[in-house]
Amino acid sequence: MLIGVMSFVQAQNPVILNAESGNRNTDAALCWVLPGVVYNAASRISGQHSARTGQLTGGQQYPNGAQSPWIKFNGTGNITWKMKLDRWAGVNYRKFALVRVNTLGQTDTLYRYNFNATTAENVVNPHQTINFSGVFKLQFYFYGDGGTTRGILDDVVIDGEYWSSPSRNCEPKNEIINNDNDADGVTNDRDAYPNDPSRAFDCYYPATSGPGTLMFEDLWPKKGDYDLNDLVAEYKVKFVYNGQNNLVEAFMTIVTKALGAGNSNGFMYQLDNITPNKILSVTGFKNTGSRWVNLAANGTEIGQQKANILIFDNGNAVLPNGTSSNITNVEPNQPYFNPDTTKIKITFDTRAGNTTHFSALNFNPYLIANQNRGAEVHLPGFMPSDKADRSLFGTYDDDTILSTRKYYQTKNNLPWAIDINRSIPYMQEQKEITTGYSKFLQWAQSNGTMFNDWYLDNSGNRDNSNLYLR
Amino acid sequence: MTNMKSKTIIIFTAIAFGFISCKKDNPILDNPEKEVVNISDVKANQSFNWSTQNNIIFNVEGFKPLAAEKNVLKVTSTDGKDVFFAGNYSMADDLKQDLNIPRLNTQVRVSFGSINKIVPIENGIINFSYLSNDPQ
Repeated sequence: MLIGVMSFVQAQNPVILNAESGNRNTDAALCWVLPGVVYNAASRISGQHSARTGQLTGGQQYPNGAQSPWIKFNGTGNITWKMKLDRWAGVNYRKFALVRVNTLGQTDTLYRYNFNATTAENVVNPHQTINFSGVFKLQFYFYGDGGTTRGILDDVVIDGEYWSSPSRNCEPKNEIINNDNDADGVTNDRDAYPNDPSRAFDCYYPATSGPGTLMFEDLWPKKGDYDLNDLVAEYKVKFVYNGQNNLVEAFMTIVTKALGAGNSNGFMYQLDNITPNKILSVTGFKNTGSRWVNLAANGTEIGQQKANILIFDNGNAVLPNGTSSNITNVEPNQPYFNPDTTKIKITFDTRAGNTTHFSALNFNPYLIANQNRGAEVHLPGFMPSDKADRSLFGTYDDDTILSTRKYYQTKNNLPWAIDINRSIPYMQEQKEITTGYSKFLQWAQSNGTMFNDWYLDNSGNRDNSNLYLR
Repeated sequence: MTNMKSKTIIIFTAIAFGFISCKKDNPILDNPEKEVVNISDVKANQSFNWSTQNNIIFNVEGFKPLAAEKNVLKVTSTDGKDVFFAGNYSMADDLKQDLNIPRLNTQVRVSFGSINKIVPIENGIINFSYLSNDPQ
């Protein structure tokens, strides 16, 4: 018996098959192919389990046994294994063959054995000297005809280097080993930047396919009219990271579509898990010079423990309508103005010791109400920045409780902003969201057990007469 | 004709109430004293997630024998179009990662190169193992 721990060095040298996991899927994950085989204790040779074939019939057309992963041989060492039959009953014949397969699929038999009635149940311990080099698979196959007798295989030990790639269809490693132009550890076929060692992957938030939609009320801490159109912006972020999964860049595209507010509001993002010193630069924000904007040399906001990114300081400047009114693109009878697109580029520090794993990137967007820096309006449950005016929490309709991490919700737990993971139409001015999205109420009241598709354009979900449609 | 229509409406209403009254877990109808007609009437649960995405835990049970096997571990929609997570990992790496997945997705596709599985999202968790689920 080979001790169980040896099954955990199968990917090294030697390559082993001992069935001791009791789960043939474990060895299948290592690229062993086990036609007809189960792992069980019946007729076991050693340990708790052996590999037992099915009932052998049909001759060489239907071999049962084990085919190894690709193995690199260097002309030394041995191949050893143990085998027997579970019994001899009604058998015409039972045979065994050890077959070598090269990378072209050509085979040759290294060893043959004929079982007989007298010794069928005795354990055989074959030994095959390795006198060849190269990359091969080995097939340990039983075959036969007549009766129901099965083959038992155990304690296979092959002196060679494991040379399969399980995540590449179990192909031999030498097919792929030199297929990484920029040597960043990500092979060309998986690398979005195969010739750039500083970049490997692109990922998108909220989705590869399209933007998400943010909709805000701006009267916080007072409840508004719940048309959720005081700021409507679509967003999409492409973030780039390297072969070590560290962030390199984030490209934020913010499309400001509507301003249904009398106030002049700003718009920012907090990256809750990233400190400002992890960022080398932020570019592309739109700053008209509002008094409350105070940015460091790297473009993040000064005075924050977490990185805060300005998108724009004044929505009316990025989406001007040429009138004295701040209300834009929410009244169907008024002129329509093309949405503004703001493109932000964040460059992260990738120097050793100051990197940021890509999974740290999460987005906490918020509105700055009426040029009052402390009046932040976040999505429900999203933490305020360090510059939020704490004295406003719990006033009027707000029921933020910092100690319990209840943020930006009313006593009835209603929000001031919502985030939809796709592009959807927003409300006309002073039309409550429930009048455009017919299932919104039931969705909220049921705590999400009903109508999770409330925002989709499914039958009965929308009343277009209250939506602002272009 | 009108009389017939009234009867039909009454019968229809009665049937509807009959069905609804059996549905004990409907929180709207369990709170009949106040008709919910606008958002101000809504009392949501404090833990209610107003987002259209859920925070999901992605658990990966690494396969220790294959520390040298590296590839792109990816979580996508079942059609592969939306990528929720992708990174360069060893097959031996255990992983516990928060992901944002649209609520409407009840399962995802997890791939590691040619290893590819559809995995259900159960109780806010995606549990992924490299081993096949094939019966023994």
